[in-house]
Amino acid sequence: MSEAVQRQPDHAEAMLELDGVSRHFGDFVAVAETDLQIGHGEFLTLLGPSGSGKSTTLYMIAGFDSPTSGDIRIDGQSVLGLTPNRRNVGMVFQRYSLFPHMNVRENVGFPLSVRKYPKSDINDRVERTLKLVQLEEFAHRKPSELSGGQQQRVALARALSYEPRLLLMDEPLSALDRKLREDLQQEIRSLHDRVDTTIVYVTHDQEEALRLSDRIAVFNHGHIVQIGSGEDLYHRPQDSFVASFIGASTFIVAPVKGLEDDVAVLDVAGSEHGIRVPRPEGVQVKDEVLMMIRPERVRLCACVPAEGNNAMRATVREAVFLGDNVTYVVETRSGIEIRVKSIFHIDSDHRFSEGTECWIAWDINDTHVFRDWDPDDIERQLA
Amino acid sequence: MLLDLKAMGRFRYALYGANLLVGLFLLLPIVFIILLSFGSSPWLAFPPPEWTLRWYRQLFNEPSWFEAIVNSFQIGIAVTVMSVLLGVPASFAVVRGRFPGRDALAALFTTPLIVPLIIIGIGLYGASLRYGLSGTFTAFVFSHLVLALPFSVICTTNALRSFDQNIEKAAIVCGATRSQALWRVTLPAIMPGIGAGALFSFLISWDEVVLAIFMSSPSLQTLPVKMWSALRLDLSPVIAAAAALMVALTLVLLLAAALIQWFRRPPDTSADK
Repeated sequence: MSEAVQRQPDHAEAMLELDGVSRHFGDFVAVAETDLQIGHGEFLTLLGPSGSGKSTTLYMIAGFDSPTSGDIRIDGQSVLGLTPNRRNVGMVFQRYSLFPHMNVRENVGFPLSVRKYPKSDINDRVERTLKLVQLEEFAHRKPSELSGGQQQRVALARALSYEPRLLLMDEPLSALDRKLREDLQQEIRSLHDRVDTTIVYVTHDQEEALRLSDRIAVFNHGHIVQIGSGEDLYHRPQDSFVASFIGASTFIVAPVKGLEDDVAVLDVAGSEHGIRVPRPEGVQVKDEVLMMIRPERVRLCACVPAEGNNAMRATVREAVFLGDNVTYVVETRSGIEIRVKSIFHIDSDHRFSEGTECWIAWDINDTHVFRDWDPDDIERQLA
Repeated sequence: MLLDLKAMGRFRYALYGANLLVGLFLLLPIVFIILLSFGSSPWLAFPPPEWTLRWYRQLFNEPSWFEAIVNSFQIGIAVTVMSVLLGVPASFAVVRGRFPGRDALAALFTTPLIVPLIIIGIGLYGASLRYGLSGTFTAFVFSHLVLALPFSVICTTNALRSFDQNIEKAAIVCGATRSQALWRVTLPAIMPGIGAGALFSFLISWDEVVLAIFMSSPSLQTLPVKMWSALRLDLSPVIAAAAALMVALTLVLLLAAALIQWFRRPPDTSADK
């Protein structure tokens, strides 16, 4: 939490600033009052499920939608009175959105030509930008003659050719297949390092967000629920939504049965002495809390684990080999299903087979505890 | 596949036969008329005793025939221009507009396709008499426009519907004003649709005869009307020559359109590198 605050740039140097921005459609609140500051050269991702308000926020920054309340400032100047073409931002859309009747060169040169740059200048810049995305040889092709990945690189080049102060990207890779998506993520990442533009990126893919961003703003029901680096969100989720949206984890609801200095003991069915977790502030004995464990933090052992860990007896229900890890579903004696991911069981002779009795164990500090939660968040994990 | 040609055994020869019959049925009248137009028999005897270009010479030399050809051309071009000028904005209203009765309006635009021609003809005839337009160039253009507009609107709305509006947004975010985006991006992108609408508009006017009979006067006739009236006086092979000319122009236009399509087609690109 504290780290997230530190990472927020000062007001003075914020490149893009959303000040109490909201958007209502009749009774429906698409975006609740939102504050957001983005520093020069930062790569910020708006992450959230569909309908969470992330795209609406992006379209308001671009100027295709106007906020119901609040102000949007770029370099300290309000842009609310400016139409999208006068905001000097670049945008890459989900479906390439290239001009179908123009070739690659004309597409990339279009923003320069409507800005009435001199011919020679346009040629230079187009050449340079095409080189940046490695499409020089395709300059004369029409968009329909390019693959999806190439088209999206042209769209990127078109958005960069006029060196806009801000680049907005609306799920630009969601139409591509996985391998290509990863290549382009790499490319976008390295482009961002080279051209030093500020980027606001929208995605619903948590892995993509983690791979690309300096900071991630997690959206849910029109609110930003947490802003921070990928590590903040992963290791210190502020609520059950962030915890469930980033990573695939096990959630257990259990009452508190005892409190120690900085440990709360939860009464989880099937654990003899209870499960020990970091003590949340203000929690009382008998309160119900939600506990979360990341699958890669849980260890499977054949015999009783060392003291000081949380441990339970379980049976392996499912063991799936995924190449770089083995993902298990184990069931405790009380019927709770827990996900376990192990990189140490890749060789089959180290693997626990389905039906095997075993122990599961994890450190106290690897457990996250929430006092409030939305049942939907747990549902999502089970789905 | 369930109905694979190869899986049908001998039955497929029946299919080939049916195809051949349909093809002949559709093509024979045209082939006949073209052959007759080159035949020397003034009574359209078949097979032609000898070949000649006499009837074509007569078609272009006789003022009444030549004028009819020129009239048809001029009316066709005027109809095409107006059909595009009216059809494109109407399509934008129907596709992009948000107003009550929009869908009803869209349906209205296609009614001339359903209403019997004779009824449109009577209505237009009455109206043109009332406003003193009967037998004028204007009346011809307006009446053909009624038939041409639905095609122009349908072709353009289809093109506009399948045009991703984000492309227009992309143009605007790139710095284009709304009108720049329209003229430099949207309109060129839907040009194939507009072009198809224009082509249909011309062809409809070019071979339309029912409304043209209502609108024609002794001093202003289109080629189909001239053919119709010539037919009623005597059966001259000039009519066959005129028919061949009409078919030829239609073919040339359709071929040109097909060629344009063929050159614009996306070439085979193998998947991602």
